Amino acid sequence: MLEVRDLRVTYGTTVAVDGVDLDVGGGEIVALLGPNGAGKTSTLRAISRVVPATGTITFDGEPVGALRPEAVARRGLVHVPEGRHVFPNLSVHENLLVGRSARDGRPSAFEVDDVYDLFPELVPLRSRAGWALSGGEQQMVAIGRGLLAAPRLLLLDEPSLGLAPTVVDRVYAVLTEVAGRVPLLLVEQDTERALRLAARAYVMAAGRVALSGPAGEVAGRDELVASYLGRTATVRDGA
Amino acid sequence: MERFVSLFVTGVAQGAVFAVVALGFLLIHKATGVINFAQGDLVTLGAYIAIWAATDLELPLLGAYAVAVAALAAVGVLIERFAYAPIRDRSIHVVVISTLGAALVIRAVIVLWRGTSPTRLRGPLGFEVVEVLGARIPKQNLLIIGVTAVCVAALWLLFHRTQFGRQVRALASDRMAAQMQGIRVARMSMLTFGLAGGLSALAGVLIAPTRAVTVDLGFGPMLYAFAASILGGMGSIGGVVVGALAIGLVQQLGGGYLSPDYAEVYPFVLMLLVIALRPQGVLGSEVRARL
Repeated sequence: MLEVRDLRVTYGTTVAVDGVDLDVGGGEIVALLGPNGAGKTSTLRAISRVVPATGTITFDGEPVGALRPEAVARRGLVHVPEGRHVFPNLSVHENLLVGRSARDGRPSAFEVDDVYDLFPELVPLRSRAGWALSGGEQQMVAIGRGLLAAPRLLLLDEPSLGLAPTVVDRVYAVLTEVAGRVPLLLVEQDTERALRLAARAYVMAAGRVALSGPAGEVAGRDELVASYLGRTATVRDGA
Repeated sequence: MERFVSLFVTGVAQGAVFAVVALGFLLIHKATGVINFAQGDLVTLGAYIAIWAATDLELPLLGAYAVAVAALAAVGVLIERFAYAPIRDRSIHVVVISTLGAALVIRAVIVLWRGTSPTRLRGPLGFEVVEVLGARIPKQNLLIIGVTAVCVAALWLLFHRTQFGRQVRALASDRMAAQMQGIRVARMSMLTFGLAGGLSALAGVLIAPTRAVTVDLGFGPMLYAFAASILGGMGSIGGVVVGALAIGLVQQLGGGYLSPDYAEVYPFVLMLLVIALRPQGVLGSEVRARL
């Protein structure tokens, strides 16, 4: 479904992503793990064309590496960004409705009422402006908005970042519920939760893929721990 | 009392025209982050096209107005295509200068086409007046207020009840997230430039029957509309309308009761006061994001 080859992202002289290869198959849940600064968010942003990159990105056989971000989203490659990016001046309900912009005629597995069923916490907040929501509420809106875009693959960046453990439990309960219906490429620092949800995982360190494989196998590898400790050389040797 | 009513209604009518122009500013600013300084010359061009359609084509007045609005919507799209789209990723200053360039081109075209002699556009109500609390009010002023009210209501519905409006507001608040949601940025900017062009023409045909039409017709309204946008906080329709009405009223009441020599200055004194005391504008909000 998604094939990324030799992806490179640079910011000035800093190389954020250095030759990443990555695949997500139809119906798969794939986790992209690694410490801060490993290049996970840049990889996702490059795939959704928000930052310039070199390399090839193919989605369902079609090269998408030269498209504008909105065209990528309209093909069903929908990005729920780090930091939520809920529209501050739109109400919860309006934020959700805007999510439908990327459908481009594709049938959707989720309608607005389905999102309210998944996140009943949002029902009493329908009219509340985005800027007045808590972090957890914003995350729910962001995920709901992404689901309403009829994603063929949802790129989910750090859904647990900065949230209370109980809220993270809620978010992951919903992700587990939707996982069977929407393929996910999940960037997450909470490796335990991500590996429980995902079938396969990639571990990044210093802009490169240091380790990849089935989630169960990655969970037990020393290289995963090593990447978080900054022992990138060891990781590369072990990969 | 008659004097106050007369000044008040004239001030509201002036403010209403400024509001129509300022709504054009607001639309484009929301969709692109740019202030289109060609807006004033679009007002002038709209009036001249209506005069041409009414006199040379001998269309009925409302038909001539419709031709002007449609033509200016097309001109708005052309400005977007040639003066904005090619440089959309450049610095905001470059883009603003480009809109000023477009304004100069429009002005030159008007002078080459219609010359510099003042001309007139008749209004649908002629010079009829109506008496309100003893004051004689031109019916054209009431028409301006009525048309503006309809326009404001239509724009409010467009912004708050349609997917297009929600997309424009989303784009205004977070461009990157809007793109990630599949909002077609290029199409939105074309549509908003077109809509703003149509609004400019509307302002032109509303204001032209109240004064001599020259190539400078739209310049003053554009400056006041810009001041109104600053006054209102450049964020919401309500803010812009309140700002525009305040500008029109201050200009008329100040000119009527203080000194007519400084009537052009009072609105800008008000604008400077608001910038100094409430930089976010009368209806703007200081904090719009939770960290």
